[in-house]
Amino acid sequence: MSTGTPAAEPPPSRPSFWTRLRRRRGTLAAVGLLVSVTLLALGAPLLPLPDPSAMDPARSGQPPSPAWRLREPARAALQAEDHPAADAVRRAIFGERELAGLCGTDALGRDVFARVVWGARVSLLVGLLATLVSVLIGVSWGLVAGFTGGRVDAVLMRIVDVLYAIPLLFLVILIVALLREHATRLAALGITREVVLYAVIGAVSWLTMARIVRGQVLSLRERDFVAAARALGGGDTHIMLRHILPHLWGLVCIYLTLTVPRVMLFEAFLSFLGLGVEAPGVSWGLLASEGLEQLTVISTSWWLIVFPGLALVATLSSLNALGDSLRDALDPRGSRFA
Amino acid sequence: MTRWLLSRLLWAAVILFAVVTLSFVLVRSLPGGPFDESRALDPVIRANLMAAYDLAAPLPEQYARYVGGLLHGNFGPSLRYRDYSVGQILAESLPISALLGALALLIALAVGLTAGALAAARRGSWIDTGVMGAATLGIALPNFVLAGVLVLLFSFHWRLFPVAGWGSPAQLVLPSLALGLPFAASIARLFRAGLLETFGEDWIRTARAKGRSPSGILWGHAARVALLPVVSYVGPAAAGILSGSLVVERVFAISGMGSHFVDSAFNADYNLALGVVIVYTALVSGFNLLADLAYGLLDPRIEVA
Repeated sequence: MSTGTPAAEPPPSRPSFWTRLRRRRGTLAAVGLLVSVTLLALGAPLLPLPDPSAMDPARSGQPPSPAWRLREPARAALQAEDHPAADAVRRAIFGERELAGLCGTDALGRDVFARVVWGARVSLLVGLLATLVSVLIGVSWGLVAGFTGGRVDAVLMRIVDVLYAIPLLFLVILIVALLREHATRLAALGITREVVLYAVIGAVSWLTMARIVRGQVLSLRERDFVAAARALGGGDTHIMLRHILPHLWGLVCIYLTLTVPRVMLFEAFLSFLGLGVEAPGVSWGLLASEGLEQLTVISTSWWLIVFPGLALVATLSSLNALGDSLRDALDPRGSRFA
Repeated sequence: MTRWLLSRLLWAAVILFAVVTLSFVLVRSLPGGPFDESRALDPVIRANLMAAYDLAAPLPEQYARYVGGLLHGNFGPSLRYRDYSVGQILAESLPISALLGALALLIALAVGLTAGALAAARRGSWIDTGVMGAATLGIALPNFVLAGVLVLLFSFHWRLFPVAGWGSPAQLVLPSLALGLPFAASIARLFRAGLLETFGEDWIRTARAKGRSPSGILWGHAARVALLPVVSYVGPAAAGILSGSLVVERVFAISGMGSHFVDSAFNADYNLALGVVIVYTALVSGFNLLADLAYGLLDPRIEVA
């Protein structure tokens, strides 16, 4: 790949999927980064970090200056109350100390590194759940369209065409903004802001998945094993779920990897506009937005934008890189040079 | 050609109609309204207001009147800016957003094509690695983060460009960079991949055998074919730039259509929000049509009939 002279062409025998995947530069780095971000997010309550929403006027707007200091007893009590089990583990490992000021503090004296770590939980969760919603819709839509064929297929795919041409983002903003007015009534039904986010973002991100799945199903349904299943008396639903669906998972996983970053970007976008995650919660988009707001001529707190931004960019580009390598490893003809 | 154009225009009209219907139904059928304020209005006044802004009649009737108005170029009155019609607000803000978007698209194309060509011409060198690395990051870069970094560097550190505002040429630079650069990343990747694919073709070898210079081959022969994937990306890129302007206009305090749209969504200004959605959809359809036309012009093998 890297030399480009004809002599360096790979040998004619087709290397395995995993070999081809590993051969891509950066894939391992991307996987490593994603694993560490996930571990940090999952283990946030165990880490010796200050409370992400604890304000401290004495330490407002400080540039990065890491300190391994003692926890204030009042704060420690609050954290122990929020996560009793995790706090016990944390105390056993790290004692009463905490790592403060690694990435500076914001105007209210909150610790930026702690907020970025806790924000990862929300950003990743929204990304995963919204992607699951989109996979659910996209796979069933494509499966039904491709398998049924004929007029149903034509109608379903025309709908996808129309939706493709519509600026869905605008509709999403409109819906989310209007639903805000009814937050209390929705909450009574068990629908919180986060649930609205997953559902709405997922509901507009399934179009590509539907097209890809349909294309694959079109070729799968002509295969012999489908004819065999039919000859054995299998119904349409049975064939779709038991015989065709298992063949789609590889493809679905790849596009899932590529959908997660798009969806996370979407969440950041909405949170930035004030329509996503709200104040007591933290997400990377919200943090970057707060950082931009605090950017004034008097104080240029660069760390408030740079660190949440870095977290976003690193995670999203790793996901993109991983998705691209997976796709290339599955289909080496696809994009040789991308 | 004429038939193709007509059918494409018809398709654009279908899309526009679908958007108008979908967004109208969504917006008007959601509970709550522009006059549900914390201060309770006298029921009679409220009823009068609802009637005056045509929010009281049954939904199909409202819809018929709204579409009827649209066909005459009438977007209705704004519900929030009481003395303005939506048409007036759009007429004021569209040129601003259009200029910003056009500049961003130009930057995306200029930077993207140059970087892609450099990377392809020096394949495997540090230039290639650098360009592709930057492109990988650029694709994942949200434009508000980029905007923040640009402001930090160029407004606060070097004091070259103003932080926000609209009017002078210097105020155009940062917003259009923040809006355009993420798309330059995609364009660079597409153009590089297209060029490398084309370099392997027989007719490129022929051109080389006839003694054309490397840059002549790149721009004179290969670019024409390698541009095709870029051209088909211009439609989606234009759509992305339009929606990106929602955020960028907010960051730089520019009162274009994007910031009006966000405000209208927050204020339940139905008519203004619908108006902006319709104009944006029309713009995106227009761009897709242009991209298809350019596609046919670039590649003689593609028949636009």
